[in-house]
Amino acid sequence: MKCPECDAGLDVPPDAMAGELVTCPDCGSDYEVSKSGSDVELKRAEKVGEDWGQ
Amino acid sequence: MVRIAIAYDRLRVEEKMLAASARALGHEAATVDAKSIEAGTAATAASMGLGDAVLVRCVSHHRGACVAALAEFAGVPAINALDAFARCGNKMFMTLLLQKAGVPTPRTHFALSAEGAAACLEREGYPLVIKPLVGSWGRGVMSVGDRDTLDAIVESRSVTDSPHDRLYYLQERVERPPRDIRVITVGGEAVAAMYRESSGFRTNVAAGAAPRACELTPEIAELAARASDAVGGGVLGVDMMEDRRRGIVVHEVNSTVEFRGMASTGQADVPAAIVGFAARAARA
Repeated sequence: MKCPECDAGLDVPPDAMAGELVTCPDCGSDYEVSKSGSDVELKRAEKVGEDWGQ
Repeated sequence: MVRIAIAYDRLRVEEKMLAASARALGHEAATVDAKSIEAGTAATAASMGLGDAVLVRCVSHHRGACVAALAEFAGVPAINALDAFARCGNKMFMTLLLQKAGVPTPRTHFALSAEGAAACLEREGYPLVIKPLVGSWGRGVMSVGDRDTLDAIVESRSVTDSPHDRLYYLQERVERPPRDIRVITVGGEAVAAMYRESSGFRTNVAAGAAPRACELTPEIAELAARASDAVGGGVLGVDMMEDRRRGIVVHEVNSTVEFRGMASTGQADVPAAIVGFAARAARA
């Protein structure tokens, strides 16, 4: 797959689960794996929010 | 067999461990992206895919509380319950409950304005530790050693739109070894403990602290159980410090607990304990 931001090659492991994050090795953008059947898509990951973590 | 939903907004290793453990124990496990939940007042457990019990695992406190509210509305046990999110998600509420229950906790002050924070520091003396009321992973946790530092923190907070940044949680800086203790409690019982070692004063694993094996002594287990009772129980992360003067004190109780560090310290099977608790809640 290609990074939507910088067009670098992105390696999404075949066993990646929906919701996992992948990071572009070139530009550092984070994407969330989204699956629909056998189709895999990348959604831009949410930024860390003020209420994240404890 | 129980259908256990694992609601997440960012799938981490803990959610994978919980799903694998549930399946290994003979249950049905489904990961549910909480961001995909869209529900109205006619929502049901089935329409939201919440199964017989839902482990609420969102990294966002507010999103997790919403999932717990929806689950309870639909009659599905939420782990943790909405009450636990309300009590633990705000550090001020959590600290007040610990103190009221007689659980030893660091001396803490609450100021509802920057002026109040300054007055508190002038009265109590430096240093104090400022923590955000909501969220963290160690973010925004700062040691305030002098007035200049406080002024810088107030200035940086003043340019945000967050109402939480107008409220100040100030805690004594406890004299302790370079570590704290994280205890996992499940259903009011301590099941595992680890040290979190750090050369800085923040001991969050997310901020770089190293997990180390910690014996779950009767004292630690009893204190963790009391802290769990103080906030209403569930699956909790109870954080303690070894105060050189007073002994062990509880400084935080977390309602969405991360336990990845436990696996490397050879501790009890935390995912199995959590899944077992969820299964019992579903059958109750």
